[in-house]
This record gives sequence, C-alpha cells and structure tokens, in this order.
Amino acid sequence: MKGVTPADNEWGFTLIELMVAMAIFLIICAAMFELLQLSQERYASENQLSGTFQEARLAVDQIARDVNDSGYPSLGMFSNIPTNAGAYVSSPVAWSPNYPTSSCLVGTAGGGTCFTPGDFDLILETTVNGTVSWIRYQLLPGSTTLTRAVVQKTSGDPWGPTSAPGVMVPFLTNVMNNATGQLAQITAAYPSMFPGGRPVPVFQYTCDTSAGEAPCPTAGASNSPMNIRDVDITLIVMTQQPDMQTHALKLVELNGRGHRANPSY
Amino acid sequence: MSEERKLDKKCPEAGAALLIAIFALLLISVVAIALVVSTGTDSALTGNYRTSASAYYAGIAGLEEGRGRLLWKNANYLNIGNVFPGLFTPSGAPSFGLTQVLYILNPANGETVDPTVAPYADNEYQSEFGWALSGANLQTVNSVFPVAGLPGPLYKWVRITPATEQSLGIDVNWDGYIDNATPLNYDPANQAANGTLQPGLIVGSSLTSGQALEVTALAVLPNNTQKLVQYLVAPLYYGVSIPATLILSSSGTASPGINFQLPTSASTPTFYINGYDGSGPNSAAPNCTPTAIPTWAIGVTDIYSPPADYNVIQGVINALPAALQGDYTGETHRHHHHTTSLSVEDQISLSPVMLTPASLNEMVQTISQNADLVLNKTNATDTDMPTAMSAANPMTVVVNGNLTLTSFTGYGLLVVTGNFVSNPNAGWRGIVLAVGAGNVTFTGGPGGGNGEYDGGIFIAQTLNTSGSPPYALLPNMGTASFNASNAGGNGIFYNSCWINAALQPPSFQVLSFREIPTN
Repeated sequence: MKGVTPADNEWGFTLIELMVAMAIFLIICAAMFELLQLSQERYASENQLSGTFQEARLAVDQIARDVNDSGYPSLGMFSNIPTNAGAYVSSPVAWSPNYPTSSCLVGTAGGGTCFTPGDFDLILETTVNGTVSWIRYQLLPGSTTLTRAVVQKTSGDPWGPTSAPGVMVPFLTNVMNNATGQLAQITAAYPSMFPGGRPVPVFQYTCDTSAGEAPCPTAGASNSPMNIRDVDITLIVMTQQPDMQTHALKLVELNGRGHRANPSY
Repeated sequence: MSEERKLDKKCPEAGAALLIAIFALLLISVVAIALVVSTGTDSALTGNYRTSASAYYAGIAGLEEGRGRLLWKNANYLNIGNVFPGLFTPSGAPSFGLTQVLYILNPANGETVDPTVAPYADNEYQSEFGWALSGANLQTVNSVFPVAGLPGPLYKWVRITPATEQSLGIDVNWDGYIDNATPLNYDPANQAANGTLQPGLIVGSSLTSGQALEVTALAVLPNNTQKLVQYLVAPLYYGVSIPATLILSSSGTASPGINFQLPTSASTPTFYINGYDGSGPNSAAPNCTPTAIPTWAIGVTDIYSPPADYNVIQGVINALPAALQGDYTGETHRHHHHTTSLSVEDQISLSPVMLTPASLNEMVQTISQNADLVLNKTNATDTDMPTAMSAANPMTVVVNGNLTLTSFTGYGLLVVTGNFVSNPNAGWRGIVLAVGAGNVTFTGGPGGGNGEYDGGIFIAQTLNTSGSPPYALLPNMGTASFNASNAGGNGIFYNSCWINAALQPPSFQVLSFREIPTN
C-alpha cells in the first residue's frame, strides 16, 4: 500500500468534491447570466436613450450655432449695395412670401402671415464656406424627420430654391414635435411634453422691440423676421426601438437657444 | 488508509473554493470592463460637446473684453493715460494704422502667451492681411479679471486690428477690387453711389464715420479644444454734423421756410451767434484746444426745391438788424445764392441723416437707446437734469417733451423733441438737437444773465404738432423756429471741442460676428 500512496503534494479532488464545486459554479453562472441579460437589456435601452440624447444635443447645437452666425455679411458692411444679391445678407432670418421686399408677421400655431419662419420651418441666411447661403430647417406635418438644406443664396424668395428636389436632406430622425399621426399615442405616454395634445413648435422666436425683447407674435409693430434676435429650439426625439423590458416608447426633450449676434441691416 | 484519512482531514475540499472564486471573479470582471468601456464612450461624447461649447463661450468672453475696453469711459479702457497715442485719439476714437496690432494677453498662472510663436501662434493674421505678424507693429496689454485670484475665461489672446476689404474678404464698396491698404470706417450717414442713405462700411474715412476694428479671440481649453471667433466693431456715432453754429432746417416748400427772429436792439450782455471756434467767454474745454478754422454763424437747409432757397436765406438776412450784424460773425463766403458778406449760409454740408424727418427720427431713437437719461415728461425743467453731469463727465440726455432751462448748465448731447426754452442764465456745452417740434426760444431778456451755449444747435421740425400727442411724423421737413427776439445771456458760440466731447461714442457696436475655422 505504501507504493501507491500519493505523496503529500499529489492529492487531487474527489469526484464528489468536483461535482459539488461544479454544481455551485453552475448555479452562480446561471444567476450571473440572468443578471447579465437583464443588464444587457437595460444597457441597450439606456444606450439607445443616451444615443438619442447625443443626436438631439448635436442637432440643437448645430441649429443654435447657425442662428448665432446668421447674418454675415450684413448690408451694413457695404457702402454701395452689391448688384449681386448673393453677395450679402438681406436678413439673418429669411422669410416667405415676398422675400425680401415685403415683410410678413411671425405667428405660431397657424397664426401670422409668414409661411416661414414658423413653428416648424426656419430659413437662415449667412456665409457658409465663403458663400452667402440659405440654411433651412423644416419638419413637415406628420413627418418625424427634421430636414436641413444649404443652398447658395440667389435673388428673390428662398422657398423655391430650398424646396427643390434633393436639396433637403435628413438631419435628425424620429423627431416627434409634429408627428400628428402618432400624437395621441405619445401624448398618452408623455402628457406633459405635449400640452393639450398639440404639436410642439420646434422654433419659437423673440423679436427686438424698442422696449427690449418680446415674443414675436406679441411684438406689435416690431413683429418681423428682420427683428428676430433669439430662436428657442425644442426637439422631442424618440429612440429607435421601444424599451426592451417595458416595450414602452422612450422620448427625450431637449431645449436650446440661438442668439443672433450680427445686425439685421 | 489511516494515512489517507489523515490527509483528508488536514485539507478538506482544498482548492475548490479558490477555483470557484476565480471563475466568479473572472465573470464579474468581464461584465465590469464592458460597462466601464461603454460608459467611457458616452462620457467622451458628452465631453466633446461640453468642451466645444465651453471654448465657444470663452472666445465670446474674450471678444467682449476687447470690445468693452475700447470704450473711453470703461474703467479698464485700453488707452487709459494715453498709453497708446497711436491707436486712439484723445476723444476716444480708434485711429489704428494699417499695420498696427494690439493684443490683450490672458495667460494662465505660470504660462507665457506669445501670439508670434506656438502653442498660441496667431496664424490667422497673415491669412487675413497678407503679411506676417512679424511685419506688423505689435503691442500688447494684459487682460483684466473681475475678481482677483480667480481664474478668468480660458481665452489666450484677443487681437485688435483695423479692418480692410482684404481682411474681411468683402468688396465693401463693390468696385470690383479688394483693397488691402486702406482701413475701413463705418459711416452711419454714408450715401450710396445712387444717392440713397446707406449706413455701412466705407473705404477710408468721412466726417461722420468711425474706424471699424476687427476683434479676434483665440480660446484654448486645457484639453486643447480651440475656437477662433471674431467681431467687427465700430464706435457708435449718430451721423451728426454741425457745419454752422446755429442750423435751421427749412421746409423748403414755401417762403420763408423757417421762423427766425433775433434781438432788434442792443442789450447787455450782447447776444452773439458766433462761428469762430472757441470764441465763447466761458468756453474752455478740458484737454482740448479749439481749431483756428471759423464756421458759419447761421446755416439753413433747403433740400427740396433749390431755387426756393433764395427765400430762406433772405429771411435770415432780413432778420439781422443792420446795427447788430457784427454780433453774428464767423465764416463768410459770397456765392451766387446771395451776395451778403454776413456769416450765413444755405449750402451747408449737413449729414444726410439730418435731411429727412424719417432719418432724423431714426437717429433720435438710436440716441435714446444709448442715452444716459431719457425724460418722458410733458414739461421738464432744471431739476430733471442729471446732477452728475460735468465738464469732465458729459452726458447724453433726451427729453421727450418740452424743456425749459432757467439756470442750469449742461454738458454733452441734448435732444429735445418738444419746445425748448432757454433763460438768460441757462447754458449748454456741447450739442443741442431740437428735433421734433423744432421750436427754440431764448427768452427772459432783453439782456441780463451770463448763460452761454458752446458747441452748436440744430433745429428741425419733424413732427406734426398741430394735434395732440403722440404726434405723427411729417413726410417732409416742417418749419423750424428760432425766436431770440427777447434773448438774454451771452449767446451761442461754435466750439469743436465741446462738439467732439458730445459725440464721444457711447458704445462700440457689433457690425458682424463669425467663427473662424481652426486647423
């Protein structure tokens, strides 16, 4: 017996020991994997939400920057009015109809006489890569894609050139501000985001008046796109997929403000 | 067997716990690492946005420091003590030469900021002006922080330079040529080639313009995020010109075009209207010597029907009693409109802004927005005037209503939209614009008092005062009225020093803003 007895450092595990260890390990593993799956689902949902936040934040930032920079170069930078209307900015915020000869009234919820600027439509005029251009943001009724266009400025009304086929490109998807077809569903889930169950304006405007700034629709004689100083931006964006655990719609709302630094003359 | 039992008892289940613990640890580590990696990615994205916005606002802070310190009345005015005599005039107007550059440096603690070398080299200068920074006349000044001991905004330098067509990349006069040798000015009274009023940048300068300056700021955050932003600014001038001591804007549509009355007999003291610069007995202005160039004692406008201006100027001449014509002296010039040798003129070079009710009304609104005091009173008097006003602290006061001065002496720019009445002991050092009702009366005499007006007075009727307020703007200029038939005091004396003091810019206006891409 002495010949088959292992030395002190050669003792292994008994079968029972291994089986108990494996069983405990498998139980822990199962628990861990269950936890991991939950974590992954939660992570995937939060990751989507975070990604949506990031996209919306970048969009708000881009719009705010475009508003900040709008109006360069203004007519006040010339001693003689250029014969080429594409060489200068007539107004930091362009409008339609009758641009640039006759101004319109900025309204909200269908008020006013401007087709643009409006709750879901904004055309800025500024220099992009050395060329005076129109930058247009538009969210059509029922659509969930905010589009953006950059076209070289020409004389006359910007509506046509910025609406030409292929000019407007998707800028941000799943924007729910004006999603009239899904409004009832999302209002039920997020009633505070959609007061009264109505679409939420992407753009709201503050105008310069002799008594300071005031919302353009209440600015009286100063209600004009030429007097727009600040643009409040609200984006309500839905994640690409519903929540993996609750299967509920996930919406984020981001607010920003662009402040025009250039003069409007 | 007894040996085996002994070993079993010695190390029961030895190694199994370790094995399980290692596996469990491994698993947890994998999950933890995955979470850390994903969180780190999100943080990086958020961080990028945050630093970008921070750099943007740091750059804006630099621009605002530069713009604010250009103003003569700022406590941290760049030219305090006249340390940069080549960059600013004594009255606070910028006068940068083409190659002159002023940097405001804002290094962090222990850091050196030198725009000529890395890491904060100003490579933009050469791309704007076409020559290297080493070829420029470079001067520096340090930034100021509002709170000592606290770190300020993270911009490294602010560059202030004149602007040219080339530096802006804009053909401002639309002549097909980009000028790189002539600094630009901003003229609120600029007339385009077709004669229309076109406030804007001009190549060179004019009497009513101020130099346009580029203010450029570089912001650099600790993580090396950079932003380069730029203002184009100019001193805010209103487009006021005073080419005569007393100016009346005539209706130009009918004779006489103005109402004009002077004392009909001698009085003590004599009531003068004098076009010789600085001729008032009490006219001394601090740190300023009047020019030796005389101007007209009395000027009138006639812009609508040039042949009719014979009537307007003749009305003035007729109002000057022959025995008292020596009391109204200054520049004299005979020409075809009139042959008198009196110091009266109907072809004065008045700023285009002062030629129509609409542009004058706009000018008054701009002055009101930047005034030290706006009085909305039906009848204002001495007691409504600001007590802090002094020769060293001229102010801008707008009275939306009537004003009667009895024994007050003011300094700066005074705008009265109603009737302006001055008594023998009242005076003003600077400019009086009676624009609106266009009605000025010197009364309380004849003779008596020692009140004195040094600078200039402009009178224009732009409002239809036949009804009740608010008065409507007239489509064409109305009939200005000046009644000194019962005047006292010393009179009105042209004074370029007080005129310049009254027109010191209240602020530097932002003409444009842009972000410059950095590589």
